[in-house]
Amino acid sequence: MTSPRTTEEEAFNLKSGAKTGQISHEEKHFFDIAGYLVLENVLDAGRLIEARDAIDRIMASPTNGINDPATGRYGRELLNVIESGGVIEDAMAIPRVLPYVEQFVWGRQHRLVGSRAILRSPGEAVPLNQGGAADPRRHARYRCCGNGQFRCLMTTCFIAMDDTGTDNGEFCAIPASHKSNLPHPYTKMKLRDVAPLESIPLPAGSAVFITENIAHAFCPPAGGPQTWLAYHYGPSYMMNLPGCNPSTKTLERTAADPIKTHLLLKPYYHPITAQRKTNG
Amino acid sequence: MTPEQRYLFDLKGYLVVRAALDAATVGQINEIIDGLEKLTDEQSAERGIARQYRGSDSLYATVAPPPPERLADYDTPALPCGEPYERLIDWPATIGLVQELIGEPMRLDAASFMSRNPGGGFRFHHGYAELLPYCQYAFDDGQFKCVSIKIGYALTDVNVDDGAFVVIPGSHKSNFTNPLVGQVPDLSHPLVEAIPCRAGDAILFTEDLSHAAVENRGAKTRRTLFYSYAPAYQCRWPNLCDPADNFENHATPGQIELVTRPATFVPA
Repeated sequence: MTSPRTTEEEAFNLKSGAKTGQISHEEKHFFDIAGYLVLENVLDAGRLIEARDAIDRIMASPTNGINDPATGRYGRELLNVIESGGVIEDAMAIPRVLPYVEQFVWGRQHRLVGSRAILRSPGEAVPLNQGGAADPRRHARYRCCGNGQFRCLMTTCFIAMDDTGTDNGEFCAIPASHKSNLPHPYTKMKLRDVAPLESIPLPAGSAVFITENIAHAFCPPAGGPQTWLAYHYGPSYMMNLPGCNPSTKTLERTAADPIKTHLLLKPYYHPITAQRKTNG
Repeated sequence: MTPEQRYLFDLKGYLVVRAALDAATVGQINEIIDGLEKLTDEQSAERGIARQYRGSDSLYATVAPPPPERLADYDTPALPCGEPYERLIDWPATIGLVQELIGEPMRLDAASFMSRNPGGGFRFHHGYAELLPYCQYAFDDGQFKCVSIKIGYALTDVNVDDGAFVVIPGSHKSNFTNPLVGQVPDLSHPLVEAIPCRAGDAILFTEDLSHAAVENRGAKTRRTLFYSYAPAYQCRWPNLCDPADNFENHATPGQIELVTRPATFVPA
């Protein structure tokens, strides 16, 4: 006797929404091949000014809940910046960005696992990490199945607060390196000498959305200091990055916003009762 | 292969070997083509070198008519064209790379010559998500295990406007069908990369890579040789790997093995 074929989604009440999505075939094809997508103008001019002011304030005096490690390796970094509220908090849930999180992570089962503000001065670069199979960070793994469904682990949305240009503080990456089977041989090389590294200049207010499994770097700013906001997303069961637990105050402040509340849920494998389905 | 060659092939799905053919070899090959092009179609066919003319179809795009004084776009088998073509069967600058990319006993499964006039282009085809088993890119246990490696040898300089070979780097691992399939490449697309060449350069690529050629907007006719290799258990492409009648009298054992070897199945 054969039993009827079914899937986990049908057998249980998972409702992850992973099979639906608003992302076009072209964008999925691009992200799957390149490992990143550029999202233009995720912050308009007004929000950008607000964000810069807010970053200036928290850089000068980190408020409660924002962590300020004494020394950043590649510039100054503030952790858990959503604690500052306002536009920095709002930017974790930009409507233009969240459909990509849903599509590439695990449908509705995604959460914010960290937020950072990064200030780099001229001369401060971020070196090229390993991508793909050689990346030691298992929490960064890229996964896309043959049926076109993604299950990436950590993804990141970097938002440029200043205009970046070629050889001027821009994000750069080795396209397709999230699927590399081999370590890249460029560990001791200057960024500009790495042949497959692609420069991705962004104007202020635009973003690059990446799988953390892609080999990427930041060139040093050429003129003045430059600032970025980084929002890290993972599947629902991923813990927060160290130093990025939301405070009670933030959870209370965002309680009326269902999208932010969802992003700040405590880690979970499935929604409660999702693996219990009643008949009828 | 060097570590960087291995990394780049796995990353992008292709490698360029600059000056793989020396100038003298390129000259000899082109001289033979010049002579063959003075023959009629019938005379060429009598030598075992039948011209197959290409019109616009699902793969090839004729964007503009070819210059009237030249032969229309055509392909021929390569091996019967003469001894310099046979030397390329196991050409030292490339054969070791192919062997490492296939990773087991292999055969030459096709060798062809292409002549492409201004006005022509190649539409995008292939990509991992197409699941063509005879093209599969694979890497396991630290080794390449590709099932189709092609070498394109440029016999003329090919700048981007001369109909350069075009690829979507990384598409040999794509999980989504190529939305550009069937289109003549548009170089403004951020995934599309043109690979201009000098005469004598070789492009090695896995057939699983989405590839094409931009429209030839130059004045030159582009000449390219394609040599294709596969594991020895795979068959030849019809009519594209038949050597000249006297091949075994003068070919090296290595060349004979690559062209005429029986099916080899690696034991369990």
